[in-house]
Order: sequence, then C-alpha cells, then structure tokens
Amino acid sequence: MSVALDFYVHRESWLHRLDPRVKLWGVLVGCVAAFLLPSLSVQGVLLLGLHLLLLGNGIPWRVLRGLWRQMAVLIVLIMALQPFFTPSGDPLVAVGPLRLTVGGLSQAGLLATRALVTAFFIGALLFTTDQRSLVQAFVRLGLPYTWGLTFSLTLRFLPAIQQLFMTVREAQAARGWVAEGNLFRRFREYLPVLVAVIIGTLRMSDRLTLALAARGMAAPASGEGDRPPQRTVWRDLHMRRTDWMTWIGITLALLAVSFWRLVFGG
Amino acid sequence: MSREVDIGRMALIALMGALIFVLTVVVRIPIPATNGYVHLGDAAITFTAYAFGPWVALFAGGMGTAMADMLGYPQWAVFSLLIHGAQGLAIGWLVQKRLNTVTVLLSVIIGAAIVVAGYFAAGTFLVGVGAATLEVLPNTLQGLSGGLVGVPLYLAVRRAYPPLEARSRRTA
Repeated sequence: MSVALDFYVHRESWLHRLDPRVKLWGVLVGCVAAFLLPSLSVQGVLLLGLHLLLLGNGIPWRVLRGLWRQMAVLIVLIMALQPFFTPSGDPLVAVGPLRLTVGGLSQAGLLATRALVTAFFIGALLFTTDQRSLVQAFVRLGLPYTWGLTFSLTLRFLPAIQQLFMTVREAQAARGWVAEGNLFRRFREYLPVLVAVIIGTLRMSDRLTLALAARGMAAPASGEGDRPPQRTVWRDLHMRRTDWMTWIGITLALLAVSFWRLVFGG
Repeated sequence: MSREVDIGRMALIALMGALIFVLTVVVRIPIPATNGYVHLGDAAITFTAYAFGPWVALFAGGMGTAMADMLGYPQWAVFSLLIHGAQGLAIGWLVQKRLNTVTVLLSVIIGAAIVVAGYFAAGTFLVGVGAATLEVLPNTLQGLSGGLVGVPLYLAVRRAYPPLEARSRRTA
C-alpha cells in the first residue's frame, strides 16, 4: 500500500484546464452555499450538479463511488444519531426519552447531504488539479513560497518516510518483534520501531537541508527592503478568458446565495 | 536588511509533517472494546513538540494531520489543521523552557483536551451533536495516546540520538 497523497485523475477537460485559483474560489463558495442554504432540495441539486460536472469532465464513476464509500459510515452515523438530538414535530416512534420525529429526520438528512456536498466540492478540486498547480495556486494567492516549498517537500517525502517505516517494522519483525496484548503493551512495543524511524527521519532531514543549501535556498534575500526576491517558476499560472468568465459566474452565484439568504432568511 | 531562509527548520517541518502523516495513516492499533482503532499521529505530534518546540509542532502537526484527512475525510481537513496545530503549539509551549513532572503532566492533559474539545466543536458544526458526542470517548483515548506514547518516545530518542538535544533550546 502506498500512501502517496495523489487524487489527481489525468484528463484533458475544461475543469482540468480551469485555473486552480478559480477552482479554489469555487470550492469556497460551494461550501459556503451548502451552509447558507439549509434545504434538502438545494443540497440535492448541488450534489447532482457536482456528479454531472465531474462525470462530464472525464472523472470515472469508480472514483466517485470511492468517495461515496468513504463517506458511507459518516452518513449512517449522522442518520442514526442526529434525529434523536434534534426532535421536532410529531413523533413517529417513541422509546422512553428517545423520540424519532419527522423534523429530526429531515434535520439529519440535511446534515448528511451537507457533509456529502462539502466532500464532493473538495473532491472536484483534488480530482482535477495536480499537486504542483495546487501549491502554485496558493503561492500566487499570497502564501510565502517557502511555505509552498515545504508543503511540496512533505508530499514528496510521504512515500520515502512510509518506506522507512515499513523497512524498520519488517526488520524488527524479522528479529522476533511483534505488537500484541492490550493497548498499553502495544504502545510500549511500538517504541523501538518508532525510535529507529524518527532517527532515520532526522538524518533524512539533515541531508535535505544540505541539498536545499546546495541549491542556494539559504541565500540571503536581496529583494527590495525586507522582501525576499521574486523566484522564477518553470510553469506559471495564467488566467485566461474562460477562467475570468467562470470566476465572475462563481462570484455572481455567491451574491445570489447571500441575497437569497438575506431576503428569505434561509 | 536581508533575511535568510531557515532551510534547516523548513526541512524539519516538511519531514516531521510527512512522519506525522505516515504514523496517522499507516499505524492502526485496534481497540477491540470500541471496534475502533488508535493511530500514532498524536504521539508523533507530541514528540515533535517536545523535541523541536511549538512552532515546528504547529506547522508539522497541522499540515501532517490535515493531509491525512484528505485521504478519507476531506471535510475535516481544515479543522484538523487548526486542532492539531493548536495541540502541537500548546504542548511545545508548555515544555519548551522546563521539562519536569508538572509540565509533562500538564502538556499531556492539555494536548488531549484540545483534541477532544476541538473535534467536538468541529463535529457539532459539521455532522451534528449526535455523531460528535459518539466521538468523545475514542477522541479522549486518541488524545491521551499522544502523551502516553509521545513522551516516552521523546525520552528514548533523546537517549539513543544525542544530536537531538543539541537542537533543543531548553535550558533545564
């Protein structure tokens, strides 16, 4: 099993080509809308729209099914518990102090669909944006490039650290190590593995520091005033006409949702 | 005035973030009583806070756990970023000057309390008070595992790898 954190599904679609900054704005507005419009039908339309958008842009059904499967436990949990915490209206079933009501059920349905809508909005961003563009989008939005680089390095080193952990665990297992017994025993038995993994990680960090220094990352900034110099990038982000049009569309949608909320009070 | 980029700290945050991610995602110790499991992400955050102070723990802890959430629970990622970032910051701040029984105990309790309270508040907002209440007990165990594994881990690494202490700015 590899834990490389990559959800990107490579396709040549409109959504894939859309500037990642516009997509980030879209996800933000979408999540805000999901919270501002507490209505089952609106959430349902949003969810259906997201499915059509993703399928129409080449994301295969099995990827969407994977996200559904991940959300399933949470949805069941919400539907099973939430109705009893927010009872309202006529009870359908009453057992002792617990009352299952229509109001409670619809409230739980709302929370469940909202969780799904949020997950699918974030999914839409991650399935159609590769990691480099996403980090670059954050940097272009004002994140210091050192932070962007740190984030990229973390992504880059995930498989390396996982490999290190697996190697140490297998080496210990080959020497008779086994983690069993109650929770506290297992905690204690993991210590020798963790100590070796951490020392390996610290050595890796020292080598990474040298590698970064060799590439001039530690060079003192000679930009204007206190600002570091502008770094050049290999592939820059550019807002095209379609990106601007989509950005305007998303912003108008946000205004419409806010207006709706103000006038009709949800 | 020129400003140097602290690449040593950058590399450390990146790699400790990756380690926290791996220990959150890969190690799952089952708890038969609750049918759930405990991961070692909190232990890695506690170790980071003890070894490298509040700032490295804030960034590495927040980033590592938020990224781990992206693997299955993306809507929690922002909350994990804040909660585990705050956990790392608080633990690191408590033990950065002195390491004694009182500061250690306080750091374990406050670290766990931040996790439990933070996830309860986030859960109430995201999935309702019902599902959030059900998570309180597993989160308590998870939060406490940070101190129960993280503190002995720090002491063991410090013994096995003396250069670690050279990075610490602790005086006593």
